[in-house]
Amino acid sequence: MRYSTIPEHSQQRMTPSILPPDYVSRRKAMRDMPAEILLEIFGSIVDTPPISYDSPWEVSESGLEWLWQASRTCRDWRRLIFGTARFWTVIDVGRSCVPLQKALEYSAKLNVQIRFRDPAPIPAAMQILSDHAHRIGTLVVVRLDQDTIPTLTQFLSRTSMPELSELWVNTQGSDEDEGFALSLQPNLVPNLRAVHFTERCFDWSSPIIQRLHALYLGRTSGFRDVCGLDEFAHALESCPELKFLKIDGSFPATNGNSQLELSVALPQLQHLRLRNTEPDDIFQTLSCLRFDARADIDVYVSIDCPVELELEQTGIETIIPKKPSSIPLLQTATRAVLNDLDFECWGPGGRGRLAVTFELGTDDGWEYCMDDHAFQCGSLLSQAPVTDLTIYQGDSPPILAWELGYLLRSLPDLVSLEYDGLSYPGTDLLAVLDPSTSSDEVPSSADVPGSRSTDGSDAMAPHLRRLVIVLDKWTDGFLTGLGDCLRARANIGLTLDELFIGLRSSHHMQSDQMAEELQLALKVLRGLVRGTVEIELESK
Amino acid sequence: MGDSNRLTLVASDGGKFVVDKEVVQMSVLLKNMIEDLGETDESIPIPNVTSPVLTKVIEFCENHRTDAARTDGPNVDGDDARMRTAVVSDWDRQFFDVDQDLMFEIIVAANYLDIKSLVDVGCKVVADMIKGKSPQEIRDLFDIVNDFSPEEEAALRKENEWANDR
Repeated sequence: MRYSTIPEHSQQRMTPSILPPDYVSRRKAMRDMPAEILLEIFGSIVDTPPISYDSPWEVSESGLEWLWQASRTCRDWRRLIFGTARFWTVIDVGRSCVPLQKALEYSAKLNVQIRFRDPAPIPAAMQILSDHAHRIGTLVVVRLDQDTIPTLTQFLSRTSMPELSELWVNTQGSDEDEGFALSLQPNLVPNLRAVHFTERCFDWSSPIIQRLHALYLGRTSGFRDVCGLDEFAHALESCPELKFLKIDGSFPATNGNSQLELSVALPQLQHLRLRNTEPDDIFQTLSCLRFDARADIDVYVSIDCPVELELEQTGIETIIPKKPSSIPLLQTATRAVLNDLDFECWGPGGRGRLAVTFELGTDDGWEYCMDDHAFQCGSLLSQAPVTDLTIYQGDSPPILAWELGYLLRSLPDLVSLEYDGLSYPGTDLLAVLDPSTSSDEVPSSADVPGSRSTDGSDAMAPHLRRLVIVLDKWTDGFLTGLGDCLRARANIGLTLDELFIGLRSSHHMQSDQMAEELQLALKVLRGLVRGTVEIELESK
Repeated sequence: MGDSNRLTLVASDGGKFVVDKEVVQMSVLLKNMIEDLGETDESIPIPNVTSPVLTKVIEFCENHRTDAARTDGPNVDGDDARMRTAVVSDWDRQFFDVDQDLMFEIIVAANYLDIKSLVDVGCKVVADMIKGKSPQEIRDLFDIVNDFSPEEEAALRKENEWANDR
């Protein structure tokens, strides 16, 4: 009798050499596949992921080309492929209208998703689209040009498309969109739920806005000239169904009214994406929004960073306003991650997220300051019960002890600390954690405004139970120093449950001193940590 | 009385497999059978599936037994969910790294046992084998006979402007 445990199965992996004698007679080949399985296989060829609201123009290949090739394999395949309308419903149009015409024919009466990758065939395709407008479910235009704009504008403003639910016309990235105005008649597109548009000539009070589930405001100049933040917010408030909102460069004007505070009454909103080159626009917009404390919203801020941005303009405090009353996550976050170019925090159970990332066009001349980053992260989350903190130190200069101390001092509930890429002694984490370190070197509670002491003592990270350190490179004396630090903490009752030490690169440092220190340290550390102690060389 | 959480499957060649009920319930066919049988020590015959194939099917089910729980996360209606697509994992690809005969036998068995995820993965693996190949390469790969007449082939070549237009 055989049992189904996986190791046993592994041993029984079939190869032709161990097949039983009667196995050959039961062989199955492609030609034996029943039609239902062939249909599944062909369906997988054209199975394309849904369009991402975040980047609707980054569409993957529809696979029709390969299905077309497969149809020429044999008569049976051809019959199945051309006899199945659903295979032909995602239509990529390249330089010619022929694929569009053919696929519309084979897709029979089903709704279709049409994606123009190239603007060239759009004028010629208008008549074909008009003939099938009643079953266009999604229309994507990856790129526009001057010849296309009048035709497309006219088509969209006059054509009835009762099934159209998503309309993505890429107007960003070039000046060629000048003059494109998305003028839609609500009665002609009654089921439109997701749209990208630029502000020009769009009627903010249109019923279309009110029905949307996804809205992507594209990157153009001049938005602030025609739309104030109050008008913008009121328009949003009329979108009770909105789940996804992205503002890419088109930030409304605050009109100098920094006191404006608008409630985002968007009960369904799950994703807010803000992208800009100017951090201040995002700061101003976030300053004026108030999020519902019960909402589970993923807020993702992306700064396209020109090198010339001054460092003081790129700290997270210059992007995220420190207003816990408006951004409840600043009061409820339990987990935070920061690295050279990103900051992220989550609410309990991963509910809600606030993330900032810097997109660098080039690394030349850019040197992010992790010190500022750590300091501002601490300041921003000082009211949040953060228990898990991860720091990834990349290429930027190490965080100094004072700033790291400030960060840890601001997060007194910390239970787990992971520091990946620690450059020791550049970042003297040991001094920061060691309770005997002088207050000249690391901040005390008194140095951190609003600091919360959770146990009455002034120890740094008093609840720390788990410590993970991945060293950038081996440094003689680090493990001994760590032992001293943990002993000093243990002496005041602060003991770890789990310790993991990794080393990114050790191959060039297999010295006798290293081996000796490792052995000794393991013994010492195991005596200072309640639970597991692991040291791993060559951590990834 | 045996372990009520396990049952015995009997392959077409007589091979017996004792498996967790939870695991085999990925098969809609077996799930229904178990519900119909209730508490029983009787073995369940799987007449259309040989031991080697059943071994692989059970291996797949063992590996994917917690998938349902993993996908019940938040944001199912959000953009993340829209992006979620049935990508073939490394494990699944490795699982189907077997000779072609066995691969198709597994797919047919999964279809018979009504294990949708296994059928899906198998078909995606085969679809990936087809993508990027010419009709002749596909025929060679799967040993398929070209049953088009020369005239039809000529017409098909002309029709191929579809691909050339891209």
